[in-house]
Amino acid sequence: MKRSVPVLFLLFAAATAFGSNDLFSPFAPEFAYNAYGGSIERLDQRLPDFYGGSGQSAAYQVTYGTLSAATVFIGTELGQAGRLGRSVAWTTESRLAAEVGQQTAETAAKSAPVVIRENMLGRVKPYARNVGGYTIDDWLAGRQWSQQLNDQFIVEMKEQGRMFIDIGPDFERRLANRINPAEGRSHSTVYGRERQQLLNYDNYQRVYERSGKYQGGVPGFDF
Amino acid sequence: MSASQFTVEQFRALALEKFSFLEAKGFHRVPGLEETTPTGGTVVYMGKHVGFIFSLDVRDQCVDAQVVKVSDGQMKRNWEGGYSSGLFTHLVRHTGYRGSLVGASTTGKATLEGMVDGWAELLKQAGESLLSDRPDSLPR
Repeated sequence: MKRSVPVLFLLFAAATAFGSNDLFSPFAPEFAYNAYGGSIERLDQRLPDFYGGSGQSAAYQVTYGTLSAATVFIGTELGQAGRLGRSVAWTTESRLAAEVGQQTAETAAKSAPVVIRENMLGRVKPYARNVGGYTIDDWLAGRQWSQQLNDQFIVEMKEQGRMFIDIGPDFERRLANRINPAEGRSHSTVYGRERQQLLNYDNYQRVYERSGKYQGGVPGFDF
Repeated sequence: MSASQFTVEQFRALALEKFSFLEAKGFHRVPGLEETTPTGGTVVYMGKHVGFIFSLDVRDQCVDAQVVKVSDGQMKRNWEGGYSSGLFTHLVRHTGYRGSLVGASTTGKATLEGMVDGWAELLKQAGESLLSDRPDSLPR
């Protein structure tokens, strides 16, 4: 049973990917392209996103996969309404991640997914607001931030089995820092520590793209 | 790194001083849109078509600047049908800005004042189109 679930979604994802290559279009090719990549070669990388990761239980994968499938239909409807593009793909996919975080409350994740990475007020909080996510600011509830509390936050969220959504580096900061070392930041030591704490933690989703050392971000959100 | 090295209060006081030139260009501060959280704070300026959000990230001890489309008195970001970008990236992508020593600290060390100054000088020297606050100041 466990192995058959990924196979079912492999078939489904293959149909979607063919759609994105204009070979067969059962749903919305543009949406499929934006959400799940533009070529069949990338399927093996994208498939775990579709059913929620190979480390999950069958029930989790079925729930996640069903929501993934529903997302494609939702995307189609929105497209017919007039606008179907990266913003929709991002919003739908992110909300899906949030829903999954909430709907698996009785199993793995306790409630809202945790949004992490660089630039709290410029990126992390706006993203979290859009997906019903949870941030360290929510957890601190007015307490002054410290590295120690940051560490404790990650430990506690892991213990609760929460999903972590990683929105990636702030490439703007890296570019600014490259041109003028007095501006921006080449990297965040705080985030580096968070990533260390999350090594081998399965309930983790990376939603950003990197197209160069100074280019990338979450499509529809950062650019 | 110390959590109290730069505080939101220090940042806001400096930002209001260094970005006051924006008011002479027709922009106004919008305290109602500003945030103060345990990990940072923002200062927001809005014109008719262009808005700026300057923020302090306490965790990374870093000042960031974003440019956002303003439509009918509301800030509209990328995912709201508008436009938003880091200021630096916007200038590189849309005005051909390729960098200079504008705002660079002579010691190369990032200070709060140096960072706020850097953004103010960058806007003055490379942000003419944004400061003109026209409907076509932003790409969409």
